[in-house]
Amino acid sequence: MTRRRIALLLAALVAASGVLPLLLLSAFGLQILRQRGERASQDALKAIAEQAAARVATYIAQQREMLRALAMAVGTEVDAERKLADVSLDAPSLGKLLLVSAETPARSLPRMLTPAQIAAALRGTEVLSETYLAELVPAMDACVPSGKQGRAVCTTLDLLELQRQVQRIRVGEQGYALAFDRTGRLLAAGAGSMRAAVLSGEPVAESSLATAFVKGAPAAVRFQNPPGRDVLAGWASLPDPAWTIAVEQPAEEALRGARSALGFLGLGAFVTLFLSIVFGYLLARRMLASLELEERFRTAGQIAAGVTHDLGHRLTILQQIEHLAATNDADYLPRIRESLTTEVATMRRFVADFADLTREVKPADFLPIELNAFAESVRNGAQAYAAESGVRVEVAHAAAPVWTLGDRYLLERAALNLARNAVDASKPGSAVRLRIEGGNGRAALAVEDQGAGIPPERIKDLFESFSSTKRSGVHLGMGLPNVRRIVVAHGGSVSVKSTPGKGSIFLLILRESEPQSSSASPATMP
Amino acid sequence: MGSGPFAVAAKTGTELHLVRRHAEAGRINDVYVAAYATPRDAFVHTLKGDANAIVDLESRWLEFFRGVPSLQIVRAAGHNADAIMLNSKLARTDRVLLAQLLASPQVRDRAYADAECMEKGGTNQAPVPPGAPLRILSWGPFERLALAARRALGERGGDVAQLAPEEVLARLRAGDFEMVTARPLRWPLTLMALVWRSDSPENLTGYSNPEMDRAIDARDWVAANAVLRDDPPVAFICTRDQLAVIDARIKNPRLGPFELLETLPEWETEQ
Repeated sequence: MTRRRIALLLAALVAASGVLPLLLLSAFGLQILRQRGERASQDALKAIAEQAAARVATYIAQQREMLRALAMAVGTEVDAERKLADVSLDAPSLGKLLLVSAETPARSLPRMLTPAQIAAALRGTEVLSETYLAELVPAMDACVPSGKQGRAVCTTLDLLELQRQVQRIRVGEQGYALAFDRTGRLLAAGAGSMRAAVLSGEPVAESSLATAFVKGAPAAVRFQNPPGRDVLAGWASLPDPAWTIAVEQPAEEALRGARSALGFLGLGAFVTLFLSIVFGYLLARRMLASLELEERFRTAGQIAAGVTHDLGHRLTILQQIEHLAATNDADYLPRIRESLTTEVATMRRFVADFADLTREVKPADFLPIELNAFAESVRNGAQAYAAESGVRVEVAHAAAPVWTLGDRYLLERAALNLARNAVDASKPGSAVRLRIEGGNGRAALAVEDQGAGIPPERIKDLFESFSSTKRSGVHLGMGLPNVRRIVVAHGGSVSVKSTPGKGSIFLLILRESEPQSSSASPATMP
Repeated sequence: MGSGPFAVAAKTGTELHLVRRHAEAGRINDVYVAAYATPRDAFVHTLKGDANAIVDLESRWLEFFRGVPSLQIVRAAGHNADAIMLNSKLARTDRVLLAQLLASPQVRDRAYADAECMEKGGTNQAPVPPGAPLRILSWGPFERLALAARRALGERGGDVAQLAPEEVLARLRAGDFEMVTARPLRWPLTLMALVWRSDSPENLTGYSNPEMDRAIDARDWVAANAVLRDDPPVAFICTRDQLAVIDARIKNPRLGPFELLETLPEWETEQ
């Protein structure tokens, strides 16, 4: 794995450790913000509706008050009818004022007041009709006492002013107000698309909501209006007359501010995360470079110490051989020859171990290997060494061929390393067994010895580099780490089980591959 | 429209279908002129988008169309003036004073408080000629004008009779009136002949002045206006813009200087 990838991985790990809490916090935070944003919008719409309702109520109250005052001031005069007619010049919103008495022909009476209401008005009671469409606008008939028994002043209140007031209420770009009477009839609409209903008297989607609200039902604060648009709404009612004002705004527009804030927050979080990854990556690279340099020096020191120790040992032996040779005593010649042979072999292994470290595992070089044959090859390679120690090497074959793919040379070096270690650990006369197992996608080679076993405290770092305590020969401590490097590079694993006093089992597990023809696997090392 | 680029393709009691003689891309090629039972129906159908234009509106009804995204409000200088016509039997000097009195800012403001009038001049100081109270006939939307006129006349302000149009017409033909509210043509000047020439069938008040006839025949509109001022059959009170509400998809619609829809063949539509 390259330093760059390690740095990226480290940075990603650090960032990822922050992502989950960040996501959780964000989810909760966004939810709270969304709810609060919606509630704030609804409260604002309700406040606007209440203001509008208060203004409409004031307007209606003023009209009625003006009507009462005029009726009392003019209604008793001789030319009351003419004066009342003239009033429309000064108070056009009051409409055409009529002096009504029992003699007034029915066709001249306000059209929406019932005979009972007219009778009540003539008795001195103020009466008000339901709203209705007069000519082109919603209107309402009203009669007030004239100050003279048997006469009342009546008019038709033109509610076009209500349309003007409602139309002036704009909330954002698309918000609008609606006014309903007690029956749910739309009296005025700020939304152009709904004004046809004002003139036609047709109910709109909000009519039933308005009727329910004026009867005390809870206000519908969010709903879909007929074009399928999601709207937020605020409601307010006028006690007299029992009308309702609704102020609506498309949810999309009402919550745009909150959504923008949420978007910016989310974006900020992601930018922060991204920056933390980038900075983490850069810092990790610098730290890794520093660590790598330090590690190199440390490794070089360890190698130098090992090499110095081992070569020093070998040099001591060679100096002793040199001293023997200097005696020119023929009796020492066989011993000198034997010692030189041993030392050359030792030095060759020393060089071979280093050579193994430099060889990389390349999957492109993998070839099919049958493990039973492979184990035989390993036995052949280890047998001479084992024989020197009086140890036997045995192979326990699997019942069927077990195939894997790999770099045969490196795998055999790894297996030989384990076999030699097993031989080194074995007592003379004992056996080292190479056992093959296959199945369930695994191709396993176990190297078992009957030696003294490994102390448990050593097992955990047994495969760490330069951890060997064997200093009797060329044991830099690179053997087992190299075994693990090779096996892991093949997608496998290596482990050890050891029982002190009974021996150890090194288990090398590779991936099982498809069976091949037997000719595909050469039986010996190249 | 029917005599120009359009020809009548079909007609019923409530609808006229006009088709452009030679279809043009980007222009209106079919026109359906629909008659609705009531003005309210016409408004409703326009607001719903069933009709693409409604013309000749009172300004107060624009409230329903303001801020409707699918519609646009179009204005043009008005052709007719809200006016009070005077019976020619009244003395000429009285009519001159009455015309000054009625075409005054006070009458205009009282009658049209919320509307913009083309007329800006006049005086509130004109005296009221002495005499018996003058009755004012009124109809349709003119009751307020009639009341404003009566108030300006003071002691000479008589009864205001708000009648059906046909009743008013009958009274005019019988000469049974002193003052009557009306909306006569004021422009184009060439059409003045229709209203004020002695023998014109549109001359409903019976006004007759040889000088006016001569000026009209000579197409001397300055002289004709001078006659109207010196021997007034009418007091022009307020000429308001002509208004139309038209589908917003129609580009640059204009109202015609003579007839409201005479420029319709030039209106542009989306391709």
